[in-house]
Amino acid sequence: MPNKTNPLIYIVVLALALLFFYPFWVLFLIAFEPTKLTFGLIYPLQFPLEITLTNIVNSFNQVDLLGPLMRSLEVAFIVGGLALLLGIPAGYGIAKLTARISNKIIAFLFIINMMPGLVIAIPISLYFYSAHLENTVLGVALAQELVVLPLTVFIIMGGFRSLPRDLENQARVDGAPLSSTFARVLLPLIRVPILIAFILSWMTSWDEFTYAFIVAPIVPTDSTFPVALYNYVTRDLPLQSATFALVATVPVIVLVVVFQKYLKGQYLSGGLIG
Amino acid sequence: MNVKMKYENVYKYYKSSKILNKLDLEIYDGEFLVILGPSGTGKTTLLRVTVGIEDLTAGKIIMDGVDISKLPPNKRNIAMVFQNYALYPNMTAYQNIAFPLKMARKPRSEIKKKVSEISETLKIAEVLEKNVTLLSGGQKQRVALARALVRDPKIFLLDEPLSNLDARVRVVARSELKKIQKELGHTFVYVTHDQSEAGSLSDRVAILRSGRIEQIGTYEELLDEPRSTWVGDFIGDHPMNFINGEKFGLPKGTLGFRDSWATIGDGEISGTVELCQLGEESYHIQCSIDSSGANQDIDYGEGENSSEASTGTGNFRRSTVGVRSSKKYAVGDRIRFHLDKFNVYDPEGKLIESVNAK
Repeated sequence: MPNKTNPLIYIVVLALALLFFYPFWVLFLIAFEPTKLTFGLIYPLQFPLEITLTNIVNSFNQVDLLGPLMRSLEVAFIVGGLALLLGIPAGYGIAKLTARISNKIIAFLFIINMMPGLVIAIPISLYFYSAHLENTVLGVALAQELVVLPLTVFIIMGGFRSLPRDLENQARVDGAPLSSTFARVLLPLIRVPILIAFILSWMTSWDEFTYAFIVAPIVPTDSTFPVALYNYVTRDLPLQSATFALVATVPVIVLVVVFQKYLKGQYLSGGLIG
Repeated sequence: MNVKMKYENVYKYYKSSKILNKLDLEIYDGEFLVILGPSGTGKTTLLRVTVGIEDLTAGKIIMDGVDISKLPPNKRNIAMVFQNYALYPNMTAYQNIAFPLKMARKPRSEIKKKVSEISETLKIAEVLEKNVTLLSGGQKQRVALARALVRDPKIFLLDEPLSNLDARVRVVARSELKKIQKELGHTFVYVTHDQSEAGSLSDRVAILRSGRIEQIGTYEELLDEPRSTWVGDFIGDHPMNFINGEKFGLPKGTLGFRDSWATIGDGEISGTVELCQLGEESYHIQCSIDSSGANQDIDYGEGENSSEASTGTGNFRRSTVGVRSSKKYAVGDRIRFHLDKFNVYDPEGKLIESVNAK
């Protein structure tokens, strides 16, 4: 790699950044501009001539935004937590198998992600009804777990696999029972993959729609925010939807900003020993 | 000597390959035993089954009279230093050394005292607060050793702990290791494929071949009387020379072959030919019984003061022969060997007799 970065790179990066940023910008305009400058115009301006909080305040008064958001938060933390609870032991176990077998298991796990969500969600929802999990936070979380678990197991497995096998042996030789080996040696060493797996699960759950819609469709008492958002859009409440969407991006942005230094490709491939 | 650890009929198979194959071994209390063998003979596996991170396929390991072969590693009280040191990278040197004590639930004050003692001994006191990933190879090796020594286990297993060090550090570390072992009086089992380590460290050397102990004894014993041609070939800085030939009278230790040996100034170099190319160490020749003819010329190659190698063909399995003489030899010269000491092996390579003709 040359030391001097080609200025073209910056131009491309800037263009890409603008491209990705634009929808967010439109969202911002709709949420913070008076409606006469957005919905009132056929060709709305791309710059805010006037900023107001009325839209936000009205939206919060007119529809229940907080309920679905809180529910989404609950679901997302359950999904993230459960993913680690199941993914860590599973990843540990699979990492111990030979690559030939473990690769097959991983591929098998990802079958869930290869199928259209609806194909799986509908039969599952039937079981959930009989288990009284429909329209519950836990129900949504369990259904979404299906989506995030394969990737979680994969990431955690990569983490375990990147550790020298002798570290675990050494801990056992040093007199550590399995619990201490995990708590003091293994888990601290794969904290980055664990963190990444958690964030990815959390974010997947945060805007997951299909399973949430099928398991808990009732707005606003049971649904998560993507379902509520969809509901407002279909009920022709674009202002509320825009506000809602804007509010909903805040936690994701916070997460990404806080953990961005870990969100690098190398950690996803499991190369964490430096 | 008290037997500290005893292996009885130990087998370890991985699928169909027999890594340890009916291994029997006794380790004495307080000795420095070196397990020596080429790669892939089960040296590391032997340590791993001893410490308990691999299960035995069959057999028993008895330590202080108790069968430990079914115990989990954390109940065996055996310390091991892995080849790559296996230091916990998320901890400082201090935390690494303190880890076994912490696991043994020792009080904090005692941990502190023991860690500082051992780090004084091993001269790593100044790096205790550093993260182990920042240490040099030599320091890592000491930290790993300290972690093993600090807990006062019944036996220490070391898996080529010096192989990751550069040559100069290795020599220093080797002598320190020996010193520490003598001072503490602990039983050390040390695995290596490095003969110079085996020679300088060991009280006894056990030679491992294809999953069993081929021979055990002091390094000198192994050099002097290899019990098989395989050991003779393996041990020493240079392999032994083997001359296939008929066994005959061997008067006064002179070994010659019928018919074909002319000599250069007969008698002149008698007693001066060394086989084995071991410098001053040995004067061995091995003669295995073989009826094939022994028409053998020795083609001398170049060499300083004629003491260098010669090249033989035919019946010489090993073609390097050292000669101590002030006389220069030319290619095509013929000599007669006079041997002070040699071993005679049967066609299967087992020692029949060891002859000292001096």
